[in-house]
Amino acid sequence: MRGRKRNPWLIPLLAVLLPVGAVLAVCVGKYPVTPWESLSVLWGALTGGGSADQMTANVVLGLRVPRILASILVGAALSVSGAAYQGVFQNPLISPDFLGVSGGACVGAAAAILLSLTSGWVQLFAFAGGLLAVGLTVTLPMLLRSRANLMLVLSGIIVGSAMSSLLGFLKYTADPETQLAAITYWTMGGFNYLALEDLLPALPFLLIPAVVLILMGWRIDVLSMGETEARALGLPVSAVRGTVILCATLLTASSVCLTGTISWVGLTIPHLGRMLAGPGHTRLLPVSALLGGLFLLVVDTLTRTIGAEEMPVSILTGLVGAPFYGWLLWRQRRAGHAL
Amino acid sequence: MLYEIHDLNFSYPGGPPVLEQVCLTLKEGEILTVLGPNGAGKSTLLNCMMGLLPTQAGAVRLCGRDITAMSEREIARLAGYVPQNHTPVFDYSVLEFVLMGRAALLSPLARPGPEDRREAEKALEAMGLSHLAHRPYTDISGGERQQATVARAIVRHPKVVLFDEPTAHLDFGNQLRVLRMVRRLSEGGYATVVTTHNPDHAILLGGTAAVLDRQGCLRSGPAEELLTEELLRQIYDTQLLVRYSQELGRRVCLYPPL
Repeated sequence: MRGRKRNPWLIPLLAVLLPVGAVLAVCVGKYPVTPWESLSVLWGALTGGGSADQMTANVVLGLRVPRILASILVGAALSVSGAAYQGVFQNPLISPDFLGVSGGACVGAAAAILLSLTSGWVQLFAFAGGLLAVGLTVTLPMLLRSRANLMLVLSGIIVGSAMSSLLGFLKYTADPETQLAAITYWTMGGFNYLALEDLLPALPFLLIPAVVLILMGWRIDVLSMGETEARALGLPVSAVRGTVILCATLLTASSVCLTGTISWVGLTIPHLGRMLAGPGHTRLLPVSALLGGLFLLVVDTLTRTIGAEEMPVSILTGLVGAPFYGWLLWRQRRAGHAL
Repeated sequence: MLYEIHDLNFSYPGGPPVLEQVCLTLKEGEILTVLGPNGAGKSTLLNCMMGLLPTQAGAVRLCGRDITAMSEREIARLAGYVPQNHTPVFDYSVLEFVLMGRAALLSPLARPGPEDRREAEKALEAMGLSHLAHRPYTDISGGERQQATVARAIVRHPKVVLFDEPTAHLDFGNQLRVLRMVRRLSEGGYATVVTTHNPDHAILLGGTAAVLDRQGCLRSGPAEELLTEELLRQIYDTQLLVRYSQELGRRVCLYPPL
């Protein structure tokens, strides 16, 4: 198929599907809730009233709503940051944690768990660890006086593997009965036990960078022509690239600190987005956000509904994401797209 | 004067000098063809003229201002750059691709508007590419992509367009089309700088020629006078011939029998 699909209804359709999916997701689970009940609980919570029974309200507001909100926000954040990174580095094979965010966040979280800190501190340590790792990745090429993208990617690989060794060391010193299990579960990623209070402090770090990136969408297009060409086109490359890396890193770091590492979403969803919305980032970023939110919502709902025991979400994103990515590549090859 | 280059030196870290005491001027509407053997620094010179590489000694002045004191935006408003074909990654439409040439005119968070779109369509029309506007630019031929790149350079109406080996990777017919296009741009009031490996292109384009040698020294002058058989032999270290053809009404540069 040639020519560009310019579906004007794509964003409205996704914008409707997402809340509908969210309400449906509130209803499914071990404790059944009807759509009507869930809407009335949500309405009650928003207006301060509420007529549903306490048990339903607890399940909906205490367990499911935070988790559903988190899965949507994290899916959207990872996808937007993945799409932005791929654009800036002109490499569709890059995932949002290639600068070492996830590795750093895991080290931060593991350190906090070893220090027996509370979950709020674990989050904060993870966030700081992620940012520190990216700071290190960005500093290395500066020390080598190189501004090449490739140097940054290599530096990300170096920092990433250093972080994974560090994580291994922390795991080795952890108490195998309690701490090691906690670290392992944390790194697997998941939305269980996530409360609204955990989510709120992360909200500005998820929303503001996403909005900035979407506003900068067209500059990312120009930057995706390559650094030299973008400069010759009159783009202040260092400023734009720095802002994009900062925003995308904040998005990934806040996602990881909320839910641990979740693989595949930030790599795969931007490809689906490009297939549906074209390569222009002004459209690609919001479409990726909606698609990513929807995808992680569906996958997380699956993890808590299939099987007797709940599965860590990263296992399922991998199981769904890997073949999905394969299919996308096959589709793109067939359509003759350069990759 | 569009460009005034005085005693420009450049070398890559740890390498020999690539440009040595280069002096060059370019007037409005002038055609300048830069010749030189492989690795002589033709692209480096263009990069210095676009402010993409720092000047190490001497000065490059663009419209009277020192280029190191100018922002990317200010340079891009005056000078358009047509790089050698790059490998496209994302499949923007030809129109979207050309629109990116407006970046230097837009305020930092603005997106291209209807006027930018009209200008992009005009630039595509000038390059004879209107029929490809909505095709992915990954999907068109190398020659067409180069024309799209020229459209992207002129869409902001700079004063000068710099071409980095525009005839490389093109077949014989397309090379001639590119030279005609350069001539047309010059007639349209743009100054043009073209690097090429083919001395015949410099002769065809006329105007000013500049020759860079391996030591980084640059000689320039009217193409008609500068490009003598002796100089070209010396530059390319080959026994090539420059003859006047009655039939063509111009000088031609030819290889001897093998």
